[in-house]
Amino acid sequence: MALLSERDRRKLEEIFHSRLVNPVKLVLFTQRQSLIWTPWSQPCQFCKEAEQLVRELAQISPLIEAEVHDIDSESGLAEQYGVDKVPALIVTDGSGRANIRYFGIPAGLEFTALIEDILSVSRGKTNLSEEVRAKIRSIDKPVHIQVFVTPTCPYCPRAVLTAHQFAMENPNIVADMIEATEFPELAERYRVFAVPKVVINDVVSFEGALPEQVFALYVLKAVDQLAGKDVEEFDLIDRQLRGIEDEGDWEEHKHHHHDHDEFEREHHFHRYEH
Amino acid sequence: MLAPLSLELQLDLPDEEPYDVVIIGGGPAGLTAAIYAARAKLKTLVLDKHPRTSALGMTRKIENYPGIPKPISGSELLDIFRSQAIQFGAEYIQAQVTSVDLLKDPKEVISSAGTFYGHTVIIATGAMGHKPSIPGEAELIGRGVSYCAVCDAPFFAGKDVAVIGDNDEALDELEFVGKFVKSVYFISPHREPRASAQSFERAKKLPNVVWLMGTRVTAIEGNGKVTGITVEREGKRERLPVSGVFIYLVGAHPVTDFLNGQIELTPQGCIRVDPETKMTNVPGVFAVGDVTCKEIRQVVIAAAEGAVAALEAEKFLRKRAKARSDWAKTESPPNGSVPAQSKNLSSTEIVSLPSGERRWEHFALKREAASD
Repeated sequence: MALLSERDRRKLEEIFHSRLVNPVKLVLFTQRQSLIWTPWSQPCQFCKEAEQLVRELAQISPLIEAEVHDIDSESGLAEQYGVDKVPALIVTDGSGRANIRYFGIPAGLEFTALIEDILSVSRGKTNLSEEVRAKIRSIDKPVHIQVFVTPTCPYCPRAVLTAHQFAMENPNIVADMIEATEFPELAERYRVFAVPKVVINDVVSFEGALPEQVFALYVLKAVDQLAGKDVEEFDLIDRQLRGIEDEGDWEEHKHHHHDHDEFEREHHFHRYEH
Repeated sequence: MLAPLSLELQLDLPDEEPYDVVIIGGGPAGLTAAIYAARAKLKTLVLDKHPRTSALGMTRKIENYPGIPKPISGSELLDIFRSQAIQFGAEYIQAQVTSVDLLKDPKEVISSAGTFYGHTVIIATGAMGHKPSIPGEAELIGRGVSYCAVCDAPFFAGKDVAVIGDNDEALDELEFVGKFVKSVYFISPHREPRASAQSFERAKKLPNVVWLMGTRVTAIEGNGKVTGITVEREGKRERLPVSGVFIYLVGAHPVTDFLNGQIELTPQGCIRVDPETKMTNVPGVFAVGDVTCKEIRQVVIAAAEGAVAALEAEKFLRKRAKARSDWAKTESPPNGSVPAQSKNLSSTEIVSLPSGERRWEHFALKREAASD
């Protein structure tokens, strides 16, 4: 049975026909069902469905190409793409850029985000304001933005799209949607109890769908590139968002990220051993 | 354990054409603004968190609104306002606004129903905002304290949680939370929920709700993560172990938290406006009703301000020297002439704003031309 309803398929046909400009590649990593489950290798919950979704989208327009890989048998390629969990979907213009990513199936309200990403990548242009675009382009250090979502969260697609638009503007930025219910360990590790939760470079985090110019301030903060009046504006907004000033908060944050590094090493170790 | 997710795909691409007026709030101020804006043939959108959670929506009886001699409930009066606005062509969407970017053009309004764009924005969000006030609440936001059940309920799958508050919004959210969690304490400071009978009847059928009426929450506990709450009823205190708390309490604060500091507020936290035009410090952004803090909080005053803001927004959009209110006349001008402004402009002409910015006047003009 098709995942896309007939109505949505027809609507997409129309949208893709009128709005796609350049070809878009959907690179998907899945995992073959293993007969042996171990505590450190959870079965992929929605790999099959993610593959079906990507293939159905590719059928709608000749400008959309689906490319499906297996994380185990093509581990070298997965590593090249920085893919460490599945399903992983990368939306790319085929130029080799692979910094717009979805971990977990983009279902529910996130499906709209995926379609908007496809349209932006195809157009090769974001909707960001000139001011924000300039700030984002000025970043010269690596940035990793993780946006935790749930499929029923109405504010989440917006946060995902903003992060992905930043990634489109600057190759130094890698932006991920992470569907929290499919990666409970990761959600637990980052203490995600409210979404959208945005974690930048494991040093800065906030909750909520913020306007692009505020989101951009957090990204600049994460790479120590806040300057001029932005410093003051960031402090004001950050204090407002947290509701309270809590010095202990940051201490705890640091500790928590230390934990995370340890977890990562452990996690990789297991994967490779496996 | 997290709840399994549904694989339903939702396709809801935003309307790329901006509205002339986006009104935030569906109380008497917002809906009256919508009536006037829509009647002035502006492309008008009302975003309303819930039709029954405004100050008027929760009023049991009102008998001093001019023209309505028989006492009716606040929500009935709101229904009349709303249908009148829709009748004139305003769009009404039930959605909570969480964030805005008012410095962009068009202005951007981020809501639970998606992102909307408007050339002008009228803020009419009232003064029933809740600020974190329960001991422990502020510290545990995002750590078990949530204000969005549809966002965060999956994190509490199979666990015990509490829903605090008793308006229609709280009952709606209770229904959603109930699907995920093991059991949910519904905690209301009143003996009966301050909600519509139909919402309450529907909620009463939920299997896993423990109803704690006439009960106050005195503390939310947890170290980095919610572990329980303390409740008090008739002088007796009890601790309930829960891992999540969803809060829908009604307070007395002007609702401005979604503005991200872009609008000037008074020291009391109210939106500062020009008393004549209701315009805020940001051009094209207006604020009306209780969010601007009134000495006299009356429906008729909120409504009147809504009318002023809509006409000022119209003036702002078309750069008229004076606001005009008798739009009925333009539909059949006495001498058969069309208004001077629309005669000279094609529907896609670019108009310069006083600030030197440019924008498309596509909508307003196309609509006006169509009716001539």
